[in-house]
Order: sequence, then C-alpha cells, then structure tokens
Amino acid sequence: MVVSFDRASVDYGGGVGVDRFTARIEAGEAVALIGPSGAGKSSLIRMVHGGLAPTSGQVLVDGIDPSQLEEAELRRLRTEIGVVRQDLGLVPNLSVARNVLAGSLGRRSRFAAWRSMILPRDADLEQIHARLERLGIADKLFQRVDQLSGGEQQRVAIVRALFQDPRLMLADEPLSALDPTRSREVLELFVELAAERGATLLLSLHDVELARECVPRLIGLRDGRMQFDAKSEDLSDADVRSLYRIAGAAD
Amino acid sequence: MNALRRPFPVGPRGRLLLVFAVVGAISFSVLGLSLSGLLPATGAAGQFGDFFGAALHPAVDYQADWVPVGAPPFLQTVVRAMLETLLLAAAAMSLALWMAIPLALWTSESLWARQVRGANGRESRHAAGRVILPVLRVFIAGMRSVHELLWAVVLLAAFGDHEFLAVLAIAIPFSGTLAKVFSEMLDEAPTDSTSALAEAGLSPILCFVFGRLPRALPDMTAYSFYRFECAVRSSAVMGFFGFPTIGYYLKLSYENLHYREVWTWLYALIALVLVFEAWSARLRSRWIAR
Repeated sequence: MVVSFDRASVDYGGGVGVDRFTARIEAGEAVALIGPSGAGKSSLIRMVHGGLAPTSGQVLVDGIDPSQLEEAELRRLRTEIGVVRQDLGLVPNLSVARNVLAGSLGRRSRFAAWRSMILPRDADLEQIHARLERLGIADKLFQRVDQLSGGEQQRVAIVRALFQDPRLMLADEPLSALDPTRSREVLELFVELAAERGATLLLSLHDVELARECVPRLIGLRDGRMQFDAKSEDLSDADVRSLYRIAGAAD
Repeated sequence: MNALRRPFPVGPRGRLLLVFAVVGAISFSVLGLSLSGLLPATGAAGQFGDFFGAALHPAVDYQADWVPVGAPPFLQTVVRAMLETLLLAAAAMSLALWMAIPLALWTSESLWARQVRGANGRESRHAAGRVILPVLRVFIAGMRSVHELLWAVVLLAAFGDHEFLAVLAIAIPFSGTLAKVFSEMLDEAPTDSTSALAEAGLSPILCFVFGRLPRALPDMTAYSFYRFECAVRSSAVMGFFGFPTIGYYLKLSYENLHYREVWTWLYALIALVLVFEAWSARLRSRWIAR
C-alpha cells in the first residue's frame, strides 16, 4: 500500500501535535519514524489507520482518505492494515491461538467470525502454528497470553498482525518493552517479514542507532515537524543530533 | 507556604467522616437506641444465659420430649436441609445469571459507544442504545430495589406457595444486582485489546465480545461466587416462608425454645457458607490466577 501525507497537521489545542507533515511511502517500502517522545510519531501512525483525523491537510492510503470513510468502509480498509500497538492490546486471559485469530475476524463473514472464535478450525490453527514457528514460539499455541514473557507476547502481537495478511504494517514503538538484544532481533524480524510479504512497513522508534542499522529509510521528527527524510546510509550524525538537541541550547 | 497549610479544621475526607458520625448520632437518638437495650431485661437473665449457653453444646438429636414415630434422625434432617438450602440457592443463581448476563451486556455503555468520525476521541451513543439503555437501567433498578424477602411476600401472595416462587424471589433482585455490577465491570475493563481489535477492522460487537468481555470475565466470575454465597443465606431465610431450607427448621426450633437446636442450625448455615467459600476459592485460583 502507498501511504502519502500531504501537509497533514494535528492540533491538540495546546501544543502542536503534527505540523504540515508531507511524505510519500511507496508500496513495499520500510520506513522508521524517529524522534523524541512528543514529536508526533504516534499521531502520524494513528492517522494512517484512521484512529485520528488530521485537523488540516490529508493522509491517503492507496489514494483513500481514512478519515472520510463510512464506518464499514473504514473497517474494510483496516483489515488490510496490521497494527502492532505499543501496549500490544492482547487479551491476557485468552489463548495465543484465539488472540491471533481475533485479529483476522474483520475479513470473515459474521457467522464465520463467531464460529472460528468459538470452535477454531484446524486449517486456521495450522496456519497460526506455522507463523508462530517462524517466530520461535510454536509451542505456545494453546497457552494463555498472560503466561508468556514480555518478549513472547510481543511476538504474539506481531503474529496477530501478520495473520491479517496485511498489505501495510504499522508499529508504534514496538520495541519499548524489550531488552537491547531482543530489540534488534524483533526489529530485523519486522523488516524481514514485511519484505517477504511485499507489505509496506511504517514504524516509530526512539532508538536511532538501531533504526539506522535495520531500517532503510528514516524520517526524523521534532515538535511535530519533519527534520529530515533520508536513506539510513546518507544520514549524518548532525541530522541525528538535531532531533535531540535541547531547545534553546547552543549547537 | 500557604499551600502547605492544612485545610482547617478538617479536609474533605475528614468532613465526610464527620457527616457520617453526625448522621449516625441523629439516627440513634431518633430511634431511641441505647446500649442498655442490649442488656437482658430483668427476669430474662436466665433466658439470656440459656440461649448463649446452648451455643457451647448444639443439639445432635431432637430436643423435644416427644418425637413422631418414623421421623428421620435429627442430623439426617440437618444434612437434608443444608442440601435443600444449597439447591434452592443454585437454582436461583443459575436463573439470575441467565437473566443478568444479557441485561448487563445491553446496559453497559461500552456496547453502545461509537466513535464519532472526524471528531477526535469523542464518543457518542448508538441510536438504539439511546432508548434501550435507560429503559433497561430503570427496569434493573426496579428488580433490585425490592429485597428478596419482599419479592417472596409478593409472589407468595399472588401465586400461592411453590418452591419455584422462592427461586424466583431470590433470582429477581439478584439478577438486578448482578446486571448492574457486571455492566460496570464491562465498562471499566481495560480498553487496549478492544482498540487493537477495532484497529484490525472488527465490528464494534466483535470487539466487545472478544476484546472487552474476556477482560471483565475474571471479575464477573469472582463476583458471581460472592453472590452465590449471598444466595445461600437468602435461601436459608426463605425457610421462614415454609420452604424446607435451614430457616424453616431454625424458626421451628426457636419457637419451641429448643435453643440447642437453634445453634445447630446456625452452625449448619455457617458450615455451608464456609465449605462453599473454600470450594469457590479453589476454583477461582485455578481459573483466574495466572
């Protein structure tokens, strides 16, 4: 899916959330939004899946403005977008299998949705098992999510998004709960899995070094404004410093 | 420094406690309550002693001098009555749950909440919910504002005495209370999983059932167990209306001044609640604890 921001702004009343952000992300591209907290990364991601409407400007996903869609149309668009939230949004007292299945219900007819949650089909379970295997947690298929470690839960959330067969994957600070080694592993996995499927990947990260090593294109944000939009290998240290410089301090 | 000064003379919490104390004092004086009312009346001191003395040796056999031929042994009657009490409570609770669950779903705000498109974060209520929700809430308030003993009076007066009426008398107010508390638990359940499912394109009803309901279920289960315990007590008291639960025998024994029997019945009720409590604690730790 192609995502394009055209002077998209979000005004939260007090401070500025996002200020006239313009960028275009091609189908199959992997892009990381980097910058300090409060820079507007989450707002940008939420605008893509229609969770937040720009106060002015426009965000288009494959030429469609999510904020203008009817409820049913927005739901249809969302079934093609896999989102991994910062808080993961898993149901702790349901099994891994049901959590993953739940993410795919939007694509199913009403009857099939209920049926597959109440009595999961073997075909679904086999597919989920295969994907869990890919992420090294196949043996957790029937375990309750609250019995898994934080890293394992993170993977379940990724598998849930993948099981939607998304054409666009969004992830807001997906590494915040992981230790440094795990972070690299998971980030590489994100980029690899999205590339395998030909899905567009847009994620927000605060670890600039990690983003530079693993994600091909980086967009720097500060106070809701784009600071740079560059290939990782072209990014200079001055660019990075510009993101985290204390306001008012001499460079 | 002003910000550090204590509000004088008492803060908001202190004021609330003060209000409770004053209301309590007014109630006591209007009702004419005094601690001397707890002292046994002159001449009744013997009765007082008899009654509490009996607590130490509850009856294991009939206290009456004459027992009808063919009457079952006393302890067998006790066990039967305990079983009857438990069965009545179980029947009432299962009926109450069947009524309460749909009522709770329909009266939870979160089932009807809809995101207003364009207006960020603001929520409105589904059109049908605007009618159904307040109507059902009033209905539920009606169910639980009448105590189960009063429901029993009403139902028995209207339909005569049938065990099902005792079940219904407990089930009606209990389902009202369950529905109210369940709907609050649903509304207060964590919303992260619901939002995640909405972001995956699920309809609001699927988000509610598979994202929100499971989050509230452990609390709902725990609360149902507690209400079951309440139902056991209510079921015992239903005996006052002639149903063969613990209360029926307790009343008979009391009226015949068989205090040792009275204590046996009280202990039977306590045992029933304790056994149920132990059993439910085990179930809960298996289901709910991680």
